Parts: sequence; structure tokens; C-alpha cells
Amino acid sequence: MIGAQQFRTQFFVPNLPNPIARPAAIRVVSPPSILGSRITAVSAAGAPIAIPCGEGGDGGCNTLLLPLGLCREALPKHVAVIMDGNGRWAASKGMPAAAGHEAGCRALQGMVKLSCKWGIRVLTVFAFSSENWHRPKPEVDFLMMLFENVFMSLSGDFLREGIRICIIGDSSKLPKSLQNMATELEEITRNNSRLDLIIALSYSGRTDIVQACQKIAQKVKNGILKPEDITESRVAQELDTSCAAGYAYPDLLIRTSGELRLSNFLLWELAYTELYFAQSHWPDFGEDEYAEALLSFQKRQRRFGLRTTS
Amino acid sequence: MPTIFGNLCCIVRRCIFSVLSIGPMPNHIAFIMDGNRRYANKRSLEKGTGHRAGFSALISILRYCYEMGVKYVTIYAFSIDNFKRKPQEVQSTMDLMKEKIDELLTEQSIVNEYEVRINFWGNLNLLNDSFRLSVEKAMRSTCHNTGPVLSVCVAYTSTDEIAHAIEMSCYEKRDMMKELHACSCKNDFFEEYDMQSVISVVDFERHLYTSGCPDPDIVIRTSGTNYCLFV
Repeated sequence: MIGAQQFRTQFFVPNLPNPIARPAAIRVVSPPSILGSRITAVSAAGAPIAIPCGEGGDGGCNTLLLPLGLCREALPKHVAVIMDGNGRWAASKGMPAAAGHEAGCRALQGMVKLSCKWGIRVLTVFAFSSENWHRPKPEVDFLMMLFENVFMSLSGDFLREGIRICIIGDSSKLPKSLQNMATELEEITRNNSRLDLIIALSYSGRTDIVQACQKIAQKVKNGILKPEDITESRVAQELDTSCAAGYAYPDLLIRTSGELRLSNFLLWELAYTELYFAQSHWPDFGEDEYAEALLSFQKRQRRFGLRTTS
Repeated sequence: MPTIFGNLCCIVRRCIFSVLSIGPMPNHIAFIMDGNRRYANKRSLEKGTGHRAGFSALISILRYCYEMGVKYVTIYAFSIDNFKRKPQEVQSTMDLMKEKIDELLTEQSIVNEYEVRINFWGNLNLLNDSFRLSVEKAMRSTCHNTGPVLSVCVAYTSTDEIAHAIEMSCYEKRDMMKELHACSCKNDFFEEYDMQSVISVVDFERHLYTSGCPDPDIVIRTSGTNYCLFV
């Protein structure tokens, strides 16, 4: 099987580009004419962007750059992503799977940057599932090393950009050094409030529900709670995902690589989430693809079991 | 002539299904039957006609599933969130469902033809009395059937099912602890108490409405919307 040799490549931290610190280049095609008019510009990726201007000129408004067609008020507050397809991407280019995972990391950094820019409040990403432990050991070891290096190299950026990190999943299975790094990262970014980045590592939706059940059962056993008091909100409080203050449930789930399933991700939380399945592999999921997913979200009619008209 | 044409269609369909059945077939299909009202609005039909048309479509689909050998079919008939709709709409939907459930228990129905066992999953205490009685009667009278299983989710949400399973697991463990405490001698008690007091995955799953039924292999949702509430 491919993979055994590929993961012995040394991963050098300085090689990882740092897009969070470097904003995307913008080519302005026409200058602003009057206060309040829209400036047409083109992003580095070639996607047209409209820059809305506020009353006070462009001093305060140029922090928000949205792709055309997107409306800020209708953007999802919480986006979840199943980052699928690193291995297939690498195979399609004749590269080892390790290269796919590295490219996947870069794609994630791009998405974090865009989410900050576009005002998304919570981004939950499925980095490593409990089932992934069954992958070949060299691949698993490589991934653990990759996560540790990424946390280490990006911790400064997370602080600077106001990103709060939460790690969800069964951290006891992670290597000790990664556990410590994750705890430290959560601690130092605890007070950030621009974007909550929730990283699901060694995570299983079913296991999260059962552990919530066990925590509740312990409270019942200790007399803190009665069985009759077990409500949906009580269960939600005990899930790992309760760390996303304010926007616990994803509005939009994006899964890349064309697979049409949830794969044990956020089972409780996805009850009313809009699902979007992208054909491209995760390393290819860039600004255009993200904008398309958000546009699709904006066209959806969310009824939550009700009727929209009488 | 219509009967001959109908029989011919039936034969063609069964041939197609035989071919399909050679490949892998899902053991359990779940349906989110969305779009009844939009269907009726599009055709400028009366209110309520959409749901009746939806029921006819359901019976056809069940027949096709059973002809293809699908053993488990689950349908999402009414969510707890649907109770927030207008009271008249909720009442008329409940009345229609009761009427159809009673119909399914008659001699000529598909339930008797295929010996279908019917389950109702959900918080049945939220249903009105006459509807709940029909539901209980349907479950009782089909519980010994050995054919395919039809599970109807009514007054259901997955989050309510999970919260309910947690509550039931806690009750069960609490009663077990009391029993253990009452009859164990002091030396063995603490060891037994710690081992038994953890709720395992198996304990929890046993209290889900869906217990005993395999997981769905595929969920089909009609009407082009893309969310789940049916995990």
C-alpha cells in the first residue's frame, strides 16, 4: 500500500507559508468616485469583490471585503467543515499523501483567514476522527507531527488575529507533546473573540454524546440532578462542542471531495444545519469555492420545521 | 385495458428491480418526505391534498422497497418542531395520519400483504388521545409480523430521542444501584457499585427508540433541501 515510505519526510516548520499574517493582494480596477459608492476590485484569486463604503469614507469599512452576491447579514455565523480528500488530491498529482496533508493545512489557513475577513464567528473543522487511528501508523505519526508543528508555528498568528482555539475529541489518545501543545494553545488564546476555531481531533460524534450521557449520569448519581430534569439543553451543555459560546450549532456544513455523508461528525449539533457538498478535494478548496458554498447557503430557505407562509 | 397496461408496467418494474437486486442493496432506507404542500400549491390543489398525495406516494415507494427486498424502511412523518405550526394544520395532519394508520390495518393493505411490522418512534405522549390509541393498536397488531419493518417517526426529533435515552439510562442505573445497595453485603458493595455505575454505549443505545434496528444505509430527502434532523 502506498504511504509507508512517504511519511518519513521531515517536516520543516519554516517551509510553511503564513497567509494569516499576509493579506491577499488586491488590484483596484477603478478608483472611488464619491463617498458611499462601491469600489470594484479583484482579489488575488481572481474572484470579483465589492467593497461597501460606509458614511465616513473608507477608513472604517475597508476591513470587510465580501465576494459579489454575498450579503453580510445573511452569512452563516458558524461554519463546520469535513476536510476530505488530501490523499486523493496528492494521488491525482503523483505526490505522496504527506504532501496532500501539508497542502490541506495551507487550505485550512486560507479558510481561517477568509472566515476572519468575512465575519464568520465560529469555524469547526474535522481534522482527525476516532476512526482515523486505524490508518497506517506512519501516516498517523506524520499527522500528529504535522498538527504539533502547525500549532507551534501559528500560535503567534492566532494571538495576533484574535482567534480562540478549542480542541474537541478524545485527547487522551494523542501523543503527550501534542496534548500539552493543544492545552497551551487553548490557554493562551482563551480571551480572543474574533473567531472561534474549533479543531476536532480524535473526535467521534457518538462518543461525544455518550460521554455527555455519562457526565449527566454522574450528576444524577451524586444527587445534583434528577432524571426528570434531563433536557436537550442540559445534554448540549455537556457536549465537547459547548465551548463555542453563543453559536454552538453550525449553520452550514461543508464537505469536500464529493462524499455525501457525515462520517460521525457533530451528530447532535447538525440537526438543522444546511449541508453543502463540494466536488473539489480539500487542498483545492479556496476562496472561490468557499464563496460558492456561502452563496448556496444564502439561497436556502431555513424553516426549522415551521411553515414560511400561512 | 387499463388493467392490462397496469399489469404490464408491473412486470417491467419487477424486471428492473430484479436487475437492480443483483448489485448491493441497502438493508435500511430512511425517507424525509418533504414537499407535500409545495406539490399541492404548484398544482393549485386544495389544502390537505398534498398530504394525501404524499401518502399515496409513500405506499408506492413501500411496495417498490419490498419488491426489491429492502428489509427496513423508516419514514419521517411528523417532527416535534412541526407542532409549532398553526393548530388547525397540526390537527388536520394528525387526523389524516390517524385515518391512514387505520387504513393500513385493514385486510387489503400493503401491511397485511407483506406482513409488515410497524414501529412508531417519537415522544408519543405529545399526540392526542385518539391518535395515540391508533398508533398503539397498530404496533400491537403487527408486533408478531415477520416481514419487513416500517418505522414511522412521529412527534420525533433525534435530539429528543437522545435526551430521552439519557434520561432512561439514568433511571435504569439509579434503580440498579438501589437494588445493589439493598442486597449487597458491605465488603462487595463498593467494588460492584463502581463497576456497574458507568453507563456504557450499549446501555445508552438500548434506550434509543431505534434500538434493535440497523442504522440506515441511505437517507433520501425530497424537495431539494439539504438538512438532516434525522441522524
